[in-house]
Amino acid sequence: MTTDRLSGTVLALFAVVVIWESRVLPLGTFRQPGPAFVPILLALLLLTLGIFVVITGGRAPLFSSIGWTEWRHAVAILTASIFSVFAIERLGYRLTVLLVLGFLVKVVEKQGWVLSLAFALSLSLGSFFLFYTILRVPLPEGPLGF
Amino acid sequence: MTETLHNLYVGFSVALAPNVLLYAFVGCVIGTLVGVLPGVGPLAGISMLLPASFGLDATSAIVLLAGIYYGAMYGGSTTSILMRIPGEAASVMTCIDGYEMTRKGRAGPALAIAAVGSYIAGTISVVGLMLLAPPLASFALRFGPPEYFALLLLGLLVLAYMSGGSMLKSLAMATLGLLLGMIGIDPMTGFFRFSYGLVELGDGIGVVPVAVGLFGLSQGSRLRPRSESPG
Repeated sequence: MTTDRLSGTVLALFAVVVIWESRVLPLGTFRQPGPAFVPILLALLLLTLGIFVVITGGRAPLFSSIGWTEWRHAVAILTASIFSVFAIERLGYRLTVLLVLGFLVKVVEKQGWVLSLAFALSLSLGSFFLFYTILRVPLPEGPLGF
Repeated sequence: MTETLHNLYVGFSVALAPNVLLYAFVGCVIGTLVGVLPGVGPLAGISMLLPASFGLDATSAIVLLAGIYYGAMYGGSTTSILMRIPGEAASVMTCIDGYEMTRKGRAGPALAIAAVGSYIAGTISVVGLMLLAPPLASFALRFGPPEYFALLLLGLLVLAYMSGGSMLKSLAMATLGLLLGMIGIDPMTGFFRFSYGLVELGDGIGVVPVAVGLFGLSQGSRLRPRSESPG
């Protein structure tokens, strides 16, 4: 399986999912298009293009030749981003930024405890002071008031 | 023309007052700091920092917010050049050539070019807007749905034609982008499309989260020092 063929297949499958999900919306007519009209039109176009990408993608590099050396790094950043989305209202700005930065610097970048803690503490408290106290931006404080 | 010159005179007499210049400077510094944050563009920056203008008189507040706007517009290019993470939508293109200059050890000149370019383009566009606003306004009123559609189609065709790689893949990606733009409230009928009960998706997916996600996440996974053991 080449990279282009896999990409084309994913695009085509995505187009099929869009068409399937559009079934709950009114389609309308050509003169009076409903909310599903344009998405289905675009999904059909994407399906066609995806199939063409699959057909013409025989000469692309093999998917198995890609080295996934950085996947742990990417997953760690993505996890930290998702955590901050859910935590910022519940834990508050300072605690969330402290935890996320501490995790990224200590675990992902593998720095020492002192540097990680100093960096996370100074940035979380410093940015809170700048935006919340000086510039009066309403940042979430969390139930603990921190 | 005489009226324009008179308005200019009045505007400069207000804008060049020392306290107004100070607020413009402070606004530009704060805006640059905010603009450096990925995903926080000029509009988000102004919305966030609106409370900072409370207590000021109307002129100083507007000047402060205008300074924040221009500072954020420039600040967005900093992360684009240094880390290939666009600060806001307008600096996505800066990632392409600005980051290449950084990789060649020319980050300083790239930042300077962005600053000077931002100043020159900003000044020219303000002067142009000042002189051309009345005729542009009358022309804009003649711009209807067919013209918007034609402009959109032209944009997509130019995108497919100008892109360096495969035209087929460019068109596929443009279609994917248009499909992502379908998420949210349908402006014609008011239906929620592909929102799955999430109110936040009613506004759709903005350009900034997509750009920051595409550029930022891919770049974040590549910034790790190569000397470390692969995952």
